[in-house]
Amino acid sequence: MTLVYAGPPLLAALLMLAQSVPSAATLAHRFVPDLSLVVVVFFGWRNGRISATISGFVAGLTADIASGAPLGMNAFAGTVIGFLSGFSHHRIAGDPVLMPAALVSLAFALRHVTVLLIIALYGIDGSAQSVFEWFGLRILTTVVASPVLFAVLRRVHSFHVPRRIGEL
Amino acid sequence: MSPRPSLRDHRQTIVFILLAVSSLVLLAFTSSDARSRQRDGVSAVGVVRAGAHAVVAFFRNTVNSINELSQLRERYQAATTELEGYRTVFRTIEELERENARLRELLDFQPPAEMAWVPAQVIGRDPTGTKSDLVINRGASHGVGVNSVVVGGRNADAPGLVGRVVRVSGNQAFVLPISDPISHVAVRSIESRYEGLISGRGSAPLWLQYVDKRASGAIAVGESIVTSGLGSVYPSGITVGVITEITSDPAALTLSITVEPVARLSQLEYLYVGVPITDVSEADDAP
Repeated sequence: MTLVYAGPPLLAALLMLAQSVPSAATLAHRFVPDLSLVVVVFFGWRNGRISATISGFVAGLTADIASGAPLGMNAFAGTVIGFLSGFSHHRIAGDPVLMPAALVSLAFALRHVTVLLIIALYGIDGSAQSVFEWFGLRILTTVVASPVLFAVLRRVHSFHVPRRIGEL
Repeated sequence: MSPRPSLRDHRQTIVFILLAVSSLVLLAFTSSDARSRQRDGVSAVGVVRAGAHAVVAFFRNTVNSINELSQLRERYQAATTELEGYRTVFRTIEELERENARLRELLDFQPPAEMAWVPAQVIGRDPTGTKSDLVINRGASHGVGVNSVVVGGRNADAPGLVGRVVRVSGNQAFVLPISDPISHVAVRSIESRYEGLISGRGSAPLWLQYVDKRASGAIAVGESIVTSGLGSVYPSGITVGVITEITSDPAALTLSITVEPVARLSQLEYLYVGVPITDVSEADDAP
């Protein structure tokens, strides 16, 4: 049970941290998929709102610390994404490729819009241009990676978590 | 009659509201002037990131080193020849410096504060892709401070302006590149001496604005742009880029100029941070 609560946030935070390292100083940072977001969406779909909300909050807070953004900016966006992802739990089932791709692309776009709103509301240094700079490329790589990561997480999840746990 | 919903039934919404409100409260504190609260967190993450970066860098450097060995001999020969040329130039420069010093003395001229260039490595970027800041492995303990100037380039001989430090922790600093849309630098053309303000446009070339329209005859494509020293953040004379396009709108009062930066801003790996010489010597003395 502890793994069900602690595992998703920890995984999302570790992936978020990893995303900031190997891409340094190369063109690759434009192509790095947002695996942390995929993890949050997956646990929203699989476990429900609580797990995904906490995962989104922790991953966002990690992003804030790693990027030097004001604390709470990505944390808030992650919380919203996690909570909304939870609505897909027990409601959406379907194609193992199209379903993750659709959920993740929606979440990706919503995250960017939320960050932009926060920048505008709080008067934080930043602009729509910098927020959406590599939007097209990153959403593409993230959406392409999402079915693969969903498949991996499904296998790991079914191994660790008994099916009877259901909605958290 | 259905039973009244208990707190347990609403726990999903309660968790969401708690975390969302926590985020917004944090944001209210840290988005204004409480940046220093982040330093401890930045330092803690910095240790993990520096470790991960070291592992990645080790494997990458090993592979790169093998490739570079074959090129080293040729480069050594070329460098030796080039060095001879530089020795001659150096002697001339020494004479010019002495002459310059004498002239400054005659004019009672106050030289600008001397600066040392501390080498730094880019170790991170924003993981969400919503900010363009770079993370470097030099911080306050190396003499780096807010507004320290950062240069880098295609090669060490011809560095160009990269940006300025906007946040510092003990061993890390965040650099705002000049390509960021919120970055503005006071510059002048190196030959025609016209001044303007250069702004970032993300991945697009830089945009030089507010250049007097009378400059259209004097300023030309290919001319270098350097910092003017106005605005007190960037010292004068640092190369920013080269003019690639000049547009003159009949309805506008100023020229619109496109500038290609000298530093390859999206592929930076090693940089130099300008710090006051006193800070460098103190950092060297530190255990």
